[in-house]
Amino acid sequence: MDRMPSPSGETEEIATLFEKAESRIKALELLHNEGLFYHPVNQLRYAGYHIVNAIKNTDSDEQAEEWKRAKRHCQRAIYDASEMALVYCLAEVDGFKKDYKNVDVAPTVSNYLEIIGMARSAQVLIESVNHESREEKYNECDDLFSKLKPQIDRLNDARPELNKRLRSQRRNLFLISSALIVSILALIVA
Amino acid sequence: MGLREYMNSLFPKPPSDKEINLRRQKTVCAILSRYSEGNINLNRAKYVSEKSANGLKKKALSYHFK
Repeated sequence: MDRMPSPSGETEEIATLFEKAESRIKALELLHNEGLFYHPVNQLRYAGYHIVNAIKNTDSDEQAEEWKRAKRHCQRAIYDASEMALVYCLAEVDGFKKDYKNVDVAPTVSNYLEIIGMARSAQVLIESVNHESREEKYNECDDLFSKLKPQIDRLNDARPELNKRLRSQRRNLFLISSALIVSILALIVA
Repeated sequence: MGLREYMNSLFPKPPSDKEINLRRQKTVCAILSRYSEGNINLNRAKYVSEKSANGLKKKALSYHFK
C-alpha cells in the first residue's frame, strides 16, 4: 500500500480509545432497554469515517486533522456512554424508590441504604468538575456503574416480593377503611 | 386527579410490568434525545418533548435519595 502511514503512537492511542468505547457500549447494551447505545455507536461511526479518511488521505496535515477528529469522536463515545449509563441507573433507582415508598424495603434488600448511597455518589460524580482530566472522571463513572449495575438488578429481583407485600398492605388498608365506613354508617343509622 | 388516581394514591398498588417498561422506554428516549442533540431520529422520541429531554440530566441529578 503506497498510502502514507500515520504515526504509530497516534493510531495506537485511537485503537485503545476505540476499544474502550466499544466495551462501554457493550455495557450499555446489556442494560434493560434496547436503544440506549445508539448515540455512542453513532459517535464510533463518525470516528470510523474519520479513520478511513485519514488512511485514504495523502496530505500529512489533513491526515493529522482526521486522526484528531477520530480521537475526539472516540472520546465523546466513551464519555457519553459512561454518563448515560449512570443517568439511566439513577432513573431506575428513583423509579424503584417511588414504586415502593409505602413499603419497608430493607428486609428484602438488605443493602438498600448502601444502594441509595451509591446513587447519591453517582449524582455527585456526574456533577463534579474538579477532576484532573475528563478521562479520569469518566473512568470513575465506569467504575461506579460496574458497582451500581448489579445492585439495580438486585432491586429489580426484589420487585415480585415487594409487590406481594404492597398488595397485602393494600387489601388490609381497604378492609380497615371499609369496616370504618360501615361502622360510622351503622352509628348514624342507629 | 381522577377518582381512580385518588383511590390508587389512597391504596397504592404495585406497578405492572407494562408501566415499568413504559417508564424505561421514556427514560431511554429522554437520555437519547438529551445526548444525541437531535442527531438520532427515533420514532420512540415522540414520547418525550424536547424540553423534558433537555431537563433530564438536571432531573436525574435532583432526585432526592435519602
